[in-house]
Amino acid sequence: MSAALQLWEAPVDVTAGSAAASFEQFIADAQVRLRRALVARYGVQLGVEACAEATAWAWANRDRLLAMANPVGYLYRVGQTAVRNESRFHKAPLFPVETRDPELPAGDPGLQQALTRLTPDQRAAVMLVHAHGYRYAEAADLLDIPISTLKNHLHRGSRRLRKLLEQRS
Amino acid sequence: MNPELERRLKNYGAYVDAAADVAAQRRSTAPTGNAAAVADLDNVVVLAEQPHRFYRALAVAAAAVAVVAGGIAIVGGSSPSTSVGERPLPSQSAATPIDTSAVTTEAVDATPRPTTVLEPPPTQVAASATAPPPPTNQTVPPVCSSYTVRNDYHLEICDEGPAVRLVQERLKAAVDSSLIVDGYFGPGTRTAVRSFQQMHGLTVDGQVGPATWALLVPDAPGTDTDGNRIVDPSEITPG
Repeated sequence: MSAALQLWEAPVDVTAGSAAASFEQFIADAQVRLRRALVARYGVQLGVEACAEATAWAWANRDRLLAMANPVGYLYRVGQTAVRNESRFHKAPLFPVETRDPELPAGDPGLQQALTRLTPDQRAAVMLVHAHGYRYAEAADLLDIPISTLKNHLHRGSRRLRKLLEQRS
Repeated sequence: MNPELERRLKNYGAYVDAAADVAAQRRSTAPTGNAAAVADLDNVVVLAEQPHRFYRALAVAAAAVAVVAGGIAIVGGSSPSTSVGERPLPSQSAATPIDTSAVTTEAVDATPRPTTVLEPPPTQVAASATAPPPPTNQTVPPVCSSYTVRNDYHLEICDEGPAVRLVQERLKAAVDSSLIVDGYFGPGTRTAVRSFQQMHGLTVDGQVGPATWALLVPDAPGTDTDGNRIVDPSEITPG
């Protein structure tokens, strides 16, 4: 709001710069959510790559994107397509169990193992809502699915997750 | 979802975010074609450097088509088609010409296809995958060269002012949460106005006239001086 107010008080110089800046801002804003969703679905490496692909697509198709009702949801699908195009002929499991990164603190191997057993949709829903704290409407928009579908994924996903973690302990 | 699991998931979410940050950082700093980068970002490199299988299959198919087309042309036996065919077979080129006109035109039609099909897709894939285009290159010419302050109907593209800001605020809440509220009526706002009009069965023209205004901003802050029970854009209190 404060940034917008500043822009309003500046009387001139709002032609090319502001349009580009606003799109850049939109991308930056979308990228955070997009990366979380794609990483939740495909794991860190593929997710980050898919997010970069989606961003590149967004810059190439900005006019189409600006006319959309739910651009971020569409970009999520673009990222999904990028991964799918790559993985269609591979038998490697998505959301791979990744090697420990020395630069990072220890994660939660038990939880990660359990998460890999969920379906990608359930994992994305559970991660977005419970791990990142998005509201149902936001998460549903991001994944481009109806809220009822999201609730289904959440319900089944968290039930499965609980069961898996109980078995383990 | 019990609180213990909720907490674990929260921690895991933060962990994954950090890991993604590191991966993104690495991805942006890794020089392309470096051996270390290849080892580090296995998935990435596979995505970036392999042309898609579909395109590879298409290339093979195109080559096959070219060979077949060349063969047909050679059966035709006319001199331009033999020069054009990829693999001239001596036994066939000696065959007697049958209906030369039809076959040669087909051969001429077929020749450009392999080059057009083979070339663009791999380069396109490589370009999109290896280097996300820098934002600065992509700036398109602006829709509006200047904005005019307007506080009356119809608010339309290239207008600005507090009324536009109010419209954008409501559109952001009603239609598109990603709309940027800056008080300038650009193409994004116009699109949002159009979808709002479509949703409410109004004439879809992308301009905010009295009908759209009344539905969009029924409770605009201001005083209704002309007594039409709607606070018009000219009557709102700015701020």
